[in-house]
Amino acid sequence: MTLLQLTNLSLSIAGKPILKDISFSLDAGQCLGLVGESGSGKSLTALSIMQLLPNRSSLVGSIDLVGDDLVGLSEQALCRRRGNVMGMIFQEPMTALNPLKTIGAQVEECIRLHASVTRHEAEELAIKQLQRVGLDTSRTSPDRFPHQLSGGQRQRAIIAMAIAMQPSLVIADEPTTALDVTSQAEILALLKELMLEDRSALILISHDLAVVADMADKIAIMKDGAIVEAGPLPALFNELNHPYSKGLFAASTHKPTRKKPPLFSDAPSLEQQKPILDAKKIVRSYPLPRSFPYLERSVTRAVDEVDLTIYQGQSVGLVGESGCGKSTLARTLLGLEKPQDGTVRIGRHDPYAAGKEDLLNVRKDIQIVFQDPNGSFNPRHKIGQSIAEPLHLYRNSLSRSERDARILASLEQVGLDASDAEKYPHEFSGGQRQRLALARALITKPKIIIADEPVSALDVSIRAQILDLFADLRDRLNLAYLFISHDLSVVRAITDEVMVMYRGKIVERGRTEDIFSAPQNAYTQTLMNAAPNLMDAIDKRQREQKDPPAK
Amino acid sequence: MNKPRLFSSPSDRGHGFFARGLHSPSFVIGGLITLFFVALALLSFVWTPHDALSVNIADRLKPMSSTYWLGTDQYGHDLFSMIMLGARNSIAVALVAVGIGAGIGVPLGTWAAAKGGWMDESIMRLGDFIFAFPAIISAIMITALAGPGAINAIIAIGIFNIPVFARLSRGAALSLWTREFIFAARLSGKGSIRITIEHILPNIANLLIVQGTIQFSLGILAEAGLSYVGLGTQPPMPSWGQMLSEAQTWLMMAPQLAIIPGLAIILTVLGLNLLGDGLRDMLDPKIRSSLDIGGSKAS
Amino acid sequence: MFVYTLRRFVSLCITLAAASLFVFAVMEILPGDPAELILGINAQEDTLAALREQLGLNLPLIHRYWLWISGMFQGDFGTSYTYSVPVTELIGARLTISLPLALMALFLSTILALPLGIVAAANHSKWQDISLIGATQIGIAVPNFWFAMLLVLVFAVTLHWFPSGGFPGWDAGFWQALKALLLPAIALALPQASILVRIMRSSMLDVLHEDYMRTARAKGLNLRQTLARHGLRNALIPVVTILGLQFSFLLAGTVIIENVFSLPGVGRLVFQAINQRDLITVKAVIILLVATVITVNFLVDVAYGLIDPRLHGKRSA
Repeated sequence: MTLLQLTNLSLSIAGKPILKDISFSLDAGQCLGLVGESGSGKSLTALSIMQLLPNRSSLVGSIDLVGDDLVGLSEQALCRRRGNVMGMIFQEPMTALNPLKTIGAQVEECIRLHASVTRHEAEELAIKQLQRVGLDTSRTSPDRFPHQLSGGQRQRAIIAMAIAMQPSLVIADEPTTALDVTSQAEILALLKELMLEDRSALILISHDLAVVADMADKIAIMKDGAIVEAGPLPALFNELNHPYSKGLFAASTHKPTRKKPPLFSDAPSLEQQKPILDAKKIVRSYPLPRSFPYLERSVTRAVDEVDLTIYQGQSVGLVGESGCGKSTLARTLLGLEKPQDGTVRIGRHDPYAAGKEDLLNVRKDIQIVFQDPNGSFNPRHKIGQSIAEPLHLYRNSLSRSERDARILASLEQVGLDASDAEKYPHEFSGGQRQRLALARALITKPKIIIADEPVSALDVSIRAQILDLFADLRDRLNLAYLFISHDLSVVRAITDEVMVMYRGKIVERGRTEDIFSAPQNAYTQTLMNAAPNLMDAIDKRQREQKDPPAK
Repeated sequence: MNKPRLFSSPSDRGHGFFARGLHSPSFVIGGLITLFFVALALLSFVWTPHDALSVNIADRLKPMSSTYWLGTDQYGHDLFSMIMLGARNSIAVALVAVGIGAGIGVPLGTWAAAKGGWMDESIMRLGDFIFAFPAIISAIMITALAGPGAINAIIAIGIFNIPVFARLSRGAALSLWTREFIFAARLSGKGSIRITIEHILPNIANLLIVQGTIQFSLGILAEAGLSYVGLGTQPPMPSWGQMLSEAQTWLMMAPQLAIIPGLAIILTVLGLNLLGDGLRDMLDPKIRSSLDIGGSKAS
Repeated sequence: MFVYTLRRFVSLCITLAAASLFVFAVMEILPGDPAELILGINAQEDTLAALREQLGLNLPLIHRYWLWISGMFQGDFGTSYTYSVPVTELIGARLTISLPLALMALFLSTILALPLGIVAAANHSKWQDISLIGATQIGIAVPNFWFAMLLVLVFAVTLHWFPSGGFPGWDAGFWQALKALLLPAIALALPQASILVRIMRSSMLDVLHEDYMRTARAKGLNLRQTLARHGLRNALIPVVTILGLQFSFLLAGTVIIENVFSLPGVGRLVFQAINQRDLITVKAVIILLVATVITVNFLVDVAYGLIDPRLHGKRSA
């Protein structure tokens, strides 16, 4: 039975066309995956169904939900349906809850709005819903405020609100993008279970094909406000026609080719060499806020006795969930945050003990590429000036022409031209800015680059290009990388060895393929199981299709 | 790979900013009003229609005419000439007070942001402390000790401006310090002073200019208030607040004596505020909202 | 909440102590010899000595500070030099005018501004918003004492609805006294209300774009319910801070406004004291005003804690 039918839906905002001729249908209990890169119009499709569009929007076409066309329905009628027949889950669990109300009250509000129950009954129902989403322990009682919950717990509270009235349609807009891998797996499993329990249909919006491949019965791939390809899963993945969807599929499973053989720490050739980066038992701890004024502060160890060695030409991945200490470790290794204990050596020197002259030389050997392409450059400086900034390490020993030559060489290495040096950061796209960040890192001819989530903010297709660039530079310049990421597929694609970090400690290190295929540590196993993987998901779905699991 | 088309070259960026300004009515109107009063003030150094300070009892309380454009007061002073001198006085006091506030507040604020820790904490507590002394209270203290005068008004208003600029620049600088380009600068071996000059100040300059116009207009209001109660500029140098204070006795017979200086104050302040709003609209929309709360009335 | 309030209270005490030290230093140490400042440079040496004795200037500084502070705790602010009466009496009588005036102005400005700010935000970019923004633009530019003169001209001099100045005293009847304070309160309140309207509006507009507002709509709340149940309290958080600041400005503003209406409040007292070089009274008034400002800021902080659960102490599960 068709639950939702969109017919030739077009949306324009302030005269600018946003969605073009969107049509799809969804049966009760079905799951539709809506996939596309940023700006493809997936979220606005969702908001069109909810009729929560920004001002000055005009919508043509029809959205048929159980027999009523939502387009042109009165606000009052829409309010009766929102939260009741259709519920929505948003991307940002940190901001999607009212910070001033308890989660219990926020779920209760939804129930009292749509069901004629007493206050007390609503309270009971709200608790029941919170239990359904797994928020029933004493630490997550309904009297908690959003700021007292973790990201995953907040997302559960939002789900509890969306499903409180057992709506026949639930829309989830990137519900797990802001979450860690393990929370992501839990939330997706929860959604699956709830949909089955309530026989609700789900529209799952995601930029990640792997997430959708695992969950959806059908998929629609969007680009520039239109659906370019749609069909049932997993069949569609075998018969993709549109060049865009083919490209998206290829980029999602892309692995740059390694021109040289991977370099492992136990290679005999390394026995004579000194590591380029060598850290021994480093500890970095922070004081916690005082629990009571004027009491002694307790301390948390963000980095706890970490040992780490990286040799010239080696790419090592560092994976772990947010807050595990990855970034603190990076800052400590870069020589910017002195560890409380342990030693760091970059080449022959300890950056925390080196004299001024040595420190300048040490810094030339180690550079960084950041996650956020927007924050990486001073918006008021020309790119040339920003790229040349590390040359400050040479003080005045470089002549003007040497400087210019370095800038030019760096830009060329990352595939940009000399003329780009005269532009400002806002004139570049996100992917190009990541190239520029690499150019800045390369200008001092470093031996090792620390890349802190360098492709996390990029769309899949751009991500593949940047990974290729990283791989190419490594092989050409014999660079070493410490590649930090929460995204296991990225680390798998680019590294020779992987370290897994959990609560400040390195719990496992080994060859990338070994760790991914046969993790030894319990935490690593959880992490690997939770990580979405496109090929695995397709395999699993195809197996299930041939041989449906018993219910 | 694709390169973006060059929609604007770096050289015409400044021009673009200004051109956008010309489309903003508040920027244009505010700018014109401000320019008008600044011009009056500057002109007063070389020329006024009459000698504003000479007493001419014969021509007292004259209405507006071609000789006396805005009429005369109870001593026969030409009102227009007095307004011109008053403009000079108001603008000078407010400008110097903004200079004191920004000159001390911005270095303190950016320093607090760069150092962090207890240094930051104590500078900000000091700012809170100064906020407990509105300009009028400082002015009362200073006057009780040193007697009244324009300098006291400048100091009192200037002191009050310090924490305003310190808080603003600290807040903006703190958010910049977490940005990755600052991290890159630190890795390049640059110290916090150099980073503040090269990276922080250029990025908060717009914000400071907008706050500067707001504090400038508040300074004019505060100066008028202080002169009105006799804590500011002293006779014979005319000031708008003092003119209002004198006009109060003549409110029934010659209300224009009170209305005209009042309008001069309102127009100047309005002009500056519009100018500030116009400038703010041209800024990044993200930093706009933080400004609404930054402005504080000093009187 | 308790820990938070305690922390604010400790900070209140520290600030008060710092303020008292500062005022003491400025008024007693900076001038060198306060006695000479009070009597003028032509005073006789023996009169000076007598005054020094009377003021306790011969005692060590720390002792003098201690006497001043401990005296204040017992309600003793010293004896006015010019009136020869306890300053406490002088100020006490004046405060019955200044304090109600400031509170009235705060009340007027709040009940006027908050609804208007919400109306402007709810009708963003429509005529209501644009005309309100225009009106507040002018309201901010108007000096309150000038506006007071205008009110006198219209409502007292021309229409005779209100007295043009003076204060009959609370003994003359509550309504009579209130009537005398109404014009000054309006003159004080309107410019502050203009600021408050703008802040309420922009705070509300910021809140309107928050994700949780969209979540609330997705639950099925209509725009009005969303604003009332989720928007208002969040929007009030920055407004509360401003209200605290405004009280200080209103209090300082009374000092000026009292001059327009010849109200015998604290403002008039302090100007007379300045003219008569009555340093003891000036010092007492200043410390009182500053202490009030600091205490109000403390109350604002506490109110903040009541509105925002995030300040109760951060804990995350």
